[in-house]
Amino acid sequence: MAAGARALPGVSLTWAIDDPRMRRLILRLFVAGLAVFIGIPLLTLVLWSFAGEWFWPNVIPTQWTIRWYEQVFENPRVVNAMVLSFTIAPVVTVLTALIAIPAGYAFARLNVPFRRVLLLLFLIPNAFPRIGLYVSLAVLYYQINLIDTYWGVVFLHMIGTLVYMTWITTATFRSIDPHLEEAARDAGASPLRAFWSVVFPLALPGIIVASLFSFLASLDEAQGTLIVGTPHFITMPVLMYTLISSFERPVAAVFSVLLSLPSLVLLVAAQRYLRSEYVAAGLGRV
Amino acid sequence: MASTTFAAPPRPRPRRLDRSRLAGLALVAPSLLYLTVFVFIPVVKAITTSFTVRDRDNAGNYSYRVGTDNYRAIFETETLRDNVIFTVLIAVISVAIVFALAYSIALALRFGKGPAVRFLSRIYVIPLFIPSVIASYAMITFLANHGFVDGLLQRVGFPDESFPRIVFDWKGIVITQVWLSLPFMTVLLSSVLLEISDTLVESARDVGASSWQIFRHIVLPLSAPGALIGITFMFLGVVGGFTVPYLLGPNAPQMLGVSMVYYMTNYFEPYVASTQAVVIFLLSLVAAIYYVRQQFKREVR
Repeated sequence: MAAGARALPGVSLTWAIDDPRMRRLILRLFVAGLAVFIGIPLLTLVLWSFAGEWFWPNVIPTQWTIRWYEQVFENPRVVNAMVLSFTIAPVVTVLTALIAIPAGYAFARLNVPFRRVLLLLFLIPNAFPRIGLYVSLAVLYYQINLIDTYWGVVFLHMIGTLVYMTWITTATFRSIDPHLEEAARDAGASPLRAFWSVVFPLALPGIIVASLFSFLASLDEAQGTLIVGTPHFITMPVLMYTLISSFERPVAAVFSVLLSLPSLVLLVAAQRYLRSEYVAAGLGRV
Repeated sequence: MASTTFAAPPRPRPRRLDRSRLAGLALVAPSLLYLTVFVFIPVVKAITTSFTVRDRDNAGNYSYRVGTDNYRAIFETETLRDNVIFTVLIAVISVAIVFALAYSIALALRFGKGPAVRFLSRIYVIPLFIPSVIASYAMITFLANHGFVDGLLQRVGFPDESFPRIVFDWKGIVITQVWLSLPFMTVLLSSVLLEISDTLVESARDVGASSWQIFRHIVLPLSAPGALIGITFMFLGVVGGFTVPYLLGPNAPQMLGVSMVYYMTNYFEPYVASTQAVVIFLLSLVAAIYYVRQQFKREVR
């Protein structure tokens, strides 16, 4: 990412300190402190998931086991939640892609009337605090009987993914040279043909990144699903709420590890496609 | 302009233009329809619901009327009023801490070098990929009384029961929010700092500016607009958050997100819940307007 490839002489994080050795020491302490703060809580979860016996205040478990993993996969509640999560996320991603990619293309290339107003409307979902939107949506769902339904959950997940995917695809289409498409048109290709065989392949990396993030966002969405999906549509993160409050610590830890895996695999796999503006465009799961 | 050719002049050809406008509208329409049904209508609905008052007569029948009773309830009931204040305070504190930390990281990534900086660039993104439920749970096991840190301190000789209450307290919410929001803010600030040209910084150095002067008069002012987008976006996120305060927060006062969901799902009071949603919208209005304006400028450009 932005890794300090282009270092500047004399300007650094610790500009206020003159002695370079002192400066290096402070930078290293800062990095080490941050690594502990970010890494150790996650490590504690991994330890808990393998803990056969862990009496406080021991720093690591005194016995190790994998029985919690077996137990999790034998628990029908957990298996149902996994199946549900993995049937919702692809549907959310495909539906979002179907409506967001045309909109992104239009915003990037076509002469959309009321363009400024429309762009403004597309920013609204990010400008309202999410939980307020979800509660408002739940009030509507009660009236149109979408509460506690599969499609109710899918449509709620799409609020976040739609805005995100529209911005990414707009940026992607804008970065493709319009002359390529014009050349294809001049050679006699129909607008649709020119799009499919010239623009779409070039836009594919951006579309793939946006789809992957939509998939993950849907997989991880918890608070909205809790409001509109209970009691019949319990996805993996919603089940986590229950596991945490019922104090089944090792089971919750195993579940956390399993739930983090898809994202971590993606982090490793997609790192070179992760342009910072994609992330900044709205992934911020704050 | 998909349909213009190399040689064609850009302006005339009204027929083509009309078709392209129509096509543009048609391509945007499905998304717009979706946003109308699932975002705009619910927001309007929440506002009208917040002005609906439900009365119950002696026979137990409900009657409905228009009034501001729900709003008066929020500002006259002490617990509800405390929730509003608590929400704002938590958001301000979390944003301030994240901003200070993320700015330090972004400066180090932009201007620093060496193995420590390379390591930093790898680790700071991790929380971006951890769902907030998991992060909250990790923080509970890490910071709870009789949790990991407590145990560690006990081992090195701190007295029993000396560990402060962090989980189920405001401190737990702030620490977890910081953990979760750090990568997003850092990525944003990094991209802002990358836009500052090296030549500018170098020429300032050539005329004898100190590192502090460069920071104070070049880097800070040039990064301010981008930084404010990050600050407003994160403020909106914390104010509208549920998971972290629900799992790590105290029972009272509650953040508005938590209290709203309780009113909605446990007490079956959509009227009070909607009112709290509108209060949340109003609380973040300034941040929201700023966020939309800045983001708009960047997108339209």
